[in-house]
Formats: sequence, structure tokens, C-alpha cells
Amino acid sequence: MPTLLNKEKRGSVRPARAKPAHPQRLNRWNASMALDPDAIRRLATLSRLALSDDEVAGYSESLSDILTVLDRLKGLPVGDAAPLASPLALPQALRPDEASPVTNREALQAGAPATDSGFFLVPKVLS
Amino acid sequence: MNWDVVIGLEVHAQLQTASKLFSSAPNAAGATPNETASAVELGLPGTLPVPNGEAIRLALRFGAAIDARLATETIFARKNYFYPDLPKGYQISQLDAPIVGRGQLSVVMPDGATKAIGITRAHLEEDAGKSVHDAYSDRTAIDLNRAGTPLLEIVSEPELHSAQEAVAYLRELHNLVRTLEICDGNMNEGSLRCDANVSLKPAGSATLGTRTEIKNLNSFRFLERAITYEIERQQLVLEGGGTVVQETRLYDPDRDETRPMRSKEEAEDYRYFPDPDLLPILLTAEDHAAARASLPELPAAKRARYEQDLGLTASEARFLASERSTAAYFEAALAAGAAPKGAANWLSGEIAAQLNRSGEALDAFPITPAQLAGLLARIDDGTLSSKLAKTVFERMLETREDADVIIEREGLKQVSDSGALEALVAEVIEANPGQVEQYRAGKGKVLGFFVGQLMKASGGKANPQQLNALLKAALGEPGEG
Amino acid sequence: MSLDTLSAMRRALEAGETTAVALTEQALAAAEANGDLNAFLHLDPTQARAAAEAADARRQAGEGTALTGIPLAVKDIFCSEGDPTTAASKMLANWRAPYDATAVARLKDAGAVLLGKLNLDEFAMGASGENSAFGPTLNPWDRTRVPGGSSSGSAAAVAAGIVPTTLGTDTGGSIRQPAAFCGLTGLKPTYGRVSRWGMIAFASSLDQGGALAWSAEDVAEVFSVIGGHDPRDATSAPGTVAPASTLLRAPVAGLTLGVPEAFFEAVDSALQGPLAEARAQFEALGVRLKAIELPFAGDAVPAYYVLAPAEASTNLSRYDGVRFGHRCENPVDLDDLYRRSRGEGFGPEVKRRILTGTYALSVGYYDAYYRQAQRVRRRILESFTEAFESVDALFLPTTPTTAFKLGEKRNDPIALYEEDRFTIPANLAGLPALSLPVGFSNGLPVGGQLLAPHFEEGRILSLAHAFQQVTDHHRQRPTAGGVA
Repeated sequence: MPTLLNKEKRGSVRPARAKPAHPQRLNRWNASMALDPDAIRRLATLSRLALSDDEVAGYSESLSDILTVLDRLKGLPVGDAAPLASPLALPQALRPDEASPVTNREALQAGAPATDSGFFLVPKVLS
Repeated sequence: MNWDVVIGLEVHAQLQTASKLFSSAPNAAGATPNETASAVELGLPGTLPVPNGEAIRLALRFGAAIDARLATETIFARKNYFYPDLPKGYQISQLDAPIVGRGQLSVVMPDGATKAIGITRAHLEEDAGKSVHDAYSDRTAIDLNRAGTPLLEIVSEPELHSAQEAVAYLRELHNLVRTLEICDGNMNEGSLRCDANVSLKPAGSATLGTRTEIKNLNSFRFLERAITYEIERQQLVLEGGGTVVQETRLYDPDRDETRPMRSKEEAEDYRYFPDPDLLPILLTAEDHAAARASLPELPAAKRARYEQDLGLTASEARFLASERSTAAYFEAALAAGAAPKGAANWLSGEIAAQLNRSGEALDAFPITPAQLAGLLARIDDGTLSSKLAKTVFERMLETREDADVIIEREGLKQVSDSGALEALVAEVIEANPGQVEQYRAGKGKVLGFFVGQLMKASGGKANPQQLNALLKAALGEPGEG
Repeated sequence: MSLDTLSAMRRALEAGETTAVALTEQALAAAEANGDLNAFLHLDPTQARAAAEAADARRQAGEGTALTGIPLAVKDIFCSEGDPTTAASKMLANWRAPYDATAVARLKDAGAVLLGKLNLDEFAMGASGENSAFGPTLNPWDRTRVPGGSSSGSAAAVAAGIVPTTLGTDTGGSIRQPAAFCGLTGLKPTYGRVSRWGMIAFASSLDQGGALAWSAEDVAEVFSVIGGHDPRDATSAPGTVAPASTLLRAPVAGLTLGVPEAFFEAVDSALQGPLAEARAQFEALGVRLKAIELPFAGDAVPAYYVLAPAEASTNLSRYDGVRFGHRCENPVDLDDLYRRSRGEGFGPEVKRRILTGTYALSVGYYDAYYRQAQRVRRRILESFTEAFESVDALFLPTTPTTAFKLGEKRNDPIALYEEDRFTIPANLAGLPALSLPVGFSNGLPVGGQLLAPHFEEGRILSLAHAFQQVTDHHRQRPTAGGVA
């Protein structure tokens, strides 16, 4: 049976602390970087999401709260554990190089907002 | 102030697989938009990538050809950014653990010296689609036929020091990928694309200067022009006391200048991470050995063999080995019995000139290597003078017939029968006493007149060597009384 | 008693006592009667009736299999060809899939009758069913409560007696938690056991498709049809799945069941009784219980809430209004097209996770969050591997509480995240995990969870099947609005 080391440092399966009573207080104590509205706007730009000012404020608060959960990862005694990308310890099987023609272009484009002569159309991109 | 020029090239080679990198859609241009783009290329909901084993093998073959470290575990990563020709909003590429590590390419430089240029790495990634900006006035049209095409991105060390060296490197790389049969190297069609990183530093300084990146150079000429312009531009900036801005630039061939691309508000954060739809690819010693075993004779080895074993000059060897199709043609002619020198002469001479005129590629040349060998054989055995051979050659271009067929039909054999020639010589001498006198009086050039007359009289078929000999015999040396 | 389990329907079909057409009509009628549950996003009676007729013809020709003629439905995250496939999102409200998901194709090939597509939390992100763009689904046991999520409609449709089995997906507990809230048996197979082709991706290294039904017997039947290698999914495990009969008859007596006590201490007192009885029941079956510890299992929630949003943030980049899906009106330029199409198309929880995931992958934070979460993931897997050296399977709670009230946790994303703390570890480790009904508390179902080593679905299906031979929790039915 494995013995637990540094038990006090580890997460528990008990329920997390309740949400702070004061909804406006950002939990900066644990946050590695307070996710202020500017940070949210940068993330929204990276992920191409239009957000209203209210949404930005709301996500700033909820993401800062979420960070208190995520920050529990810091300082965990993972030692020299290598990052695990996939739970399957299998090597990648490769596909044989055989071509199948695309026969259903129309069906594939049926859900497209704007097409013409087989092209997908978007607003003019200045190149 | 003297400047050192530092250039590194990133070359994207489209691999010649039958299907795309992550789906079985055909790896082909497609006549109409989006006709070779399957649901996977379109990034439709629920679609998944499955890697193409042949692309892995071709990448390993390239690595073996440049003596590179081959990966034992290689990983695909997502490179995230938004652009309409990038359907998933990320490109599947490689960051850590590329399939090919450090290697080198042997390049013959403009001065004739051979230099080993380091290659930092080569990795696999999928190509993006195409944005067409000029088909519609107020729309950009997206064609994803090219999306998902397997690319091998080959990154050189910054070890090139002039535009000419850069072109030499690209030519060598072009030749190599074609010789290896991993890429058709068709730069016009975008099979091989080149980005150039250029910087200057004070001569002898250890610190590299700020570099700019010139993207999408798709011809040797544009590569040379763009780098030349950029070097001058940077020199002007630096000598004027300014600093070079790190930026991406495009080359405009109409104006022969480079210009910055539209600047973006923020530097892109590509948020690379291993693609969770794909598992690490494990490559064994057997895979590596198979890659080495699949290598054909490489251009450098060819050059050496042509010089040493076939007795050609360094320059001839370089020319013949510079292009896969040239080498292939040359060797096929040899296999059909042609002598190396003769074949080399005709390829670099008449054939090259004809290809220049017609604009064709050697692959489409009307005269086959075996036919060339047949023509050369008739020169060697005296049937044709070099002048007659040229005539036959031109006829072969038109009719695509063998040399012998043409010679037979048009009676183009050179006349070497000494009896007949002697008689002709006697006739011409008798008919031109004035010129005989001039010759005997010392005007040696008059011999040319007699040769001309005799050629006319013989319908161009007289064997020139024999004519000279017979004339000298009949007239003696000039000035002899 | 009406036919409401897959096994009962199958026996009746085989005996000629009913027809697929009759079963389908029964299902359609039940769907209509229970429309208030909002379990279905799309019903196709015409297609279903045609499939039922074909199934009857096939049975008459002697070519029926276990699923031939069985009416069922699938979570609307599975593509079904020609049908709307929305992922419960405005982004895909009008999109019809041009292909079947592999799991769906295999069901169709077996002759199952696809009734329609089931409601879910948008893009599978949620644990209550309240994050759907098309309204929440209700719990048939108590219509003021949630059925759980994200496979909310999949659970409600079975619990209400509309269909005997459904497909769901499970990324952090989204099959098991709704199964527990709705008194059902739900299986999340080993990662890679069921193809993800055509299953709209949320978190690629965690997603897995599986079945919900009343009993382990029924779940095994569906699992054996949908599972097995698929070359179109590069993460698909090699090999095929054994037939249901094999999956259900692995030896049970003599197995050792590991019990991580720390988990049981963290559950609501209301669940303690049924869970303790279940443990006693396993012992009565000849199973030996052994207390074990799972180091790092308590760190599963933060690891998951880095990894899942990170993968999701890029999986959802393809929803850009260019080739399919919602496009905003009159975009002024490309940037506007992207931002407004995505801003309008995605709901708040989806946007929250995209932002979180983008953050976790950003330059400067990648090592601290993403890589660190992957290291924790490895430690969690190691904890399980070590545990399985001394035990054959694990028994633990599925959820900390019974089904909570609609609206109770809606504005508290973190509370909802913590709902999954018992289910998330199995997703991180890729282990097969099953939830089965172990009792009731105040009239609400209580679920218990079984975990096994990779590819040992048969072991936990057999354990659950044996348990269900001597208990009747899986035979209880909601009294209001359901089938008696």
C-alpha cells in the first residue's frame, strides 16, 4: 500500500471551499496573475470571441475564481513525472497511402453560409 | 564599413504522396475549387486526422540523404491561429521532436568550391488552402484543395553569405528532392517554396544582426533578386544610423523590391501543444535502415562518378548532375551505347539550346536518349559529319524518327569515297585556275573557297577531313610554286 | 408490465411477441407524452418508422441481431447523416451532418432504430443539462431537478421510459453522473475503445462514447456493437470488443474490490446508506473488499480543468462561420466575421472554457498549467496502476450528492466543476468506469461507480450484472410521467 507523503499539500476529494461570499472580491491571493479585463480582452482576441463589456467583467471574475482551482496544481509533489499526453500507451498506427476521390463536395458544402462556384466566400481580406 | 551577410533559408517541399497527410483525399491540385478537399480538410465537426505512412517514409528518406539524425519518436503539434485558408483554426505541424534532426547538404558554390551547409531540422506539417483575393470584387474566395497536402519544412542553418550562395543552396535542394523522388520541385506550381531570413552584421562581429524574413519566393531568380534588394536596403538603413526592424516582408517582382507585410497588432501566440488526436509515432532502427536503403545515387556522388569514372570535366559533371532529368537522360543515353563525352557535348550544346528555344522541359524532349545514342554512333563511325549530324538532329526533332531512318531516306551520308572525291577535286581545281594561282602565290585562305565549291558540288555531303587532305595533296602547301 | 428494457424487448422480438414497428410507435408516443422533459432536440418519426420496418423484415429473414428493431436515441454530439447535429449549440443550430459517427453507423448496421437526437450541455460542457442553448432537460424522477450532464437527454430518455438505451459521451463524468442521477447503468469505456470519428470533439484525450440503459446486461449489448478499432480515428485502440455474453460472465466471486475510503468520506450523508449497502452486497457475492488509497486523485479536478478546456479551446477553433455553422449578419471584415459569429454562436460556459483553455496554453503559462496538469495526470494514472496490483477493480461513489435542483448551481461554475470529482480521475487515466444504481435517498437515485484496468470492461460489467441479479434498484421506475 502506497504511503502518502506530504499529505497536507495534496488536494482532497472533499468538496472545495465554498465560493467567497463577496462576489466582487477577486481571489488575488492564489491567482498567479489576476485575470483583469485587459487580460480577458487579450484572450478573447486570441480566441476570436466578441465580448461585451459586461461579459468581459463577468469572465474576469469567473476566470479569476477558476484560477484558484487551477493554482492548486502548483507545488504539487509530481517529482520527475513526465507529462502524460494520452492515456493510451500505444504507438501511432499509420495509414497506407491510398487516395479516395472526394465525391460529395456539394453535401460537404451544404451547410456553408456563403459559397460560389465551389469556393467558400468570406469578406475581402486585404493582403 | 564592411558587412557580413547572414542568410538562412526555410524551404517547404510538397511531398509526392498519393493522398494527403491526414486523410485519404487525393494529393492533387484539383481542377475545380474544393474538389480534393474531404470532410477532414474542411475541419467538419467530428472529423479526425490519421497520419500517412508514406509521408513519414519520404521524410525519413530526406533525412538519410542529408546524413541527419532521424527521430525515434516524433510528435505532431497544433499551431494555433485564425485564417480562412486554415480550416481547423490550427495547423498540424511539429515543434519539439521533429522527424529529422541536424544534417547537412553539400552545395557547389558559384566559385566552384563545395561547401557543406548545415540543415537544422526538417519536419512534417500540413499545407493550408488558398485564399483567392481577385476572383470577386468584395469577397475573398477560399479553396481548400491544397489544405492537408504533406509538407516537409527544411530549415537551413544561417550559413549562406550571399544571394548567389542562397540560390546555389536552393538549386542543390531542388535537385536533391527530385532525385530522391519525394517532391517534383515544381516551383511555378508551388511544390517548392522558399522563405529567406536575411541579416547583416559588421564584418567579423560575433553578434548576429536583426533579421527580416522574406516569404514565398517561388523562383531562383526571385530569390536572388529579393535577397540582393534586401541586403542593399538593410545596408542603407544601418549605414544611415538606423536599426533594422524585425519583420516579415514580401518580394514584389514588378517593382523588384521587398515590402513589409501588413503589420499585425500583436505578435501571434501560436500556443503550440502536442495534438491530442494523434499519438507519438515510434520509428525503429528498421525504419531508419529502410530509409537509407531507399536512397538512389545522390547528386554529389554522381558528380564525382562522372568526373572520375567517365572522364568528364568538373564543369560537365556539374551540369549533368545538376538536374535529375538531365542526369537521367544522360545515363539512359550511355546505357544505349553513347560515349560520355559526346553525350555530354550534345546535352550541354544543341539540346540545351533547343530546350531554351522551345521552352520545353527535358522530360518532354522529342528525341529519346536511345535516339541520341543512335545519332552519336553515326558521327563516331564516320557516317555523318558534324554539320550533317546537325541537319539530321533537326529532322529528328520534327519527325521523331531514328537517325538511321532519316539518313537512309534523305541520303544524308557524308561522302568519304576517295575515288569520287578525287574526281571532284580535280574538276574544281580545273574550273578555277585563278584561285589556284592565288593559293600557290601564298594565299592560304583560298582553300576555303575550294572547300566551299566542293561542298556545293557534293550537295554538302563531302567528308570535310578527306576534302582537306585531297586538296592539300593536289595543291600542295600554299606558296609552293 | 410494458417492455422497457433492451433485453425484454429483444426477447419479445425474438419470440415474435412484438415487432420493431410496435416498439417504435410505443417509443414515439412516450416521447410525445414526455415532451416537457425536453430530452429530445430532434425526433424523426418517418425515418424511425422506415428503419423499424426494415428491422422487422430483417428479423423475419432470420438475420436479426440483438439490437435489430430496438428503438434508441443518441446524444446530439454524435453525427447522424442527414440529421440536424447541433451539440446543443446555436453555432450548429442549422447544421446537418453529411456522415454518420462510427458508433451510430454500427448501431444502424445492427438494425437499431434511431428515433432522434438527445439534448445535452452545449458541446458536452456541463454537469447538469442546464447549459443547452435549447433549454434544460428535466429529471424524470423529479421534474424540478436536473438529470445531470452533459448527457442529460440520454439519461432522461431512458429514465422516462421513452427508449431502453441511449448513447452518451463522457469526458469528465458525463455518462456516469447523469446515469447516477437518473437511476441508470452507464458505461464510459476505456479511452480509445469506442471510435471518436463523428463524435463532435470536446477534449480529445478524454472524450469517450458509451451507453446508458437500465441494466449492465443492456449496456453490454450496446457496447459490444459500438466498440472496436476504427481506422478513421488515430487514437482508436486495436482489436474488437467481445460479445455481450462474454462481457457479462467474467468470474465475480473471488475478485478483490479496492475501496478508496477518502472518497466515501467526501459524500453527502444521504448517500452513505445506499453506498454502504452496496459494499455489503458485493461482499455477499464473494467479492473481497480492500481499503486502498489513491494519491493524487484529489488533484484530478484542477488537472482536468486545465487539460479539458485547453484541448477544447483549439477543438472549437474550427467554428468560425466560414464553412459551416452560424455566421453573423453583415460582417464588415474577417475579424468581425470570426468574433461575432463565435461570440453569438457559443454559450457562456463554452466561452468561459475557451478563454480558460487559451490562457492555459499561452506563452508563459503553458508550463505552469498545461505541462503541470499532464504531470499530475501521469501521477494519477500511476496511482491507479499501483492500486490494481493488489485489487482487481475499484468501487467508489459516482457523485457527491443526488440530483440537485434546477438553477441551484447554475451560476456557480466551480461548484459544478466539483460535481465531477469522483468521475474525472477515470477520464484522466483512460480507465473503463461504470455507474450503477445502488439505492435511493429521499426518492432520488443513488449511483455507485466501478473502475477496472484498461480494456477490462468485462470485469465491471460482470460485477454490475452479478450485483443486479440480487438487487432490484435497476428495476425501479419513476412514478410520475414514466412507464409503470
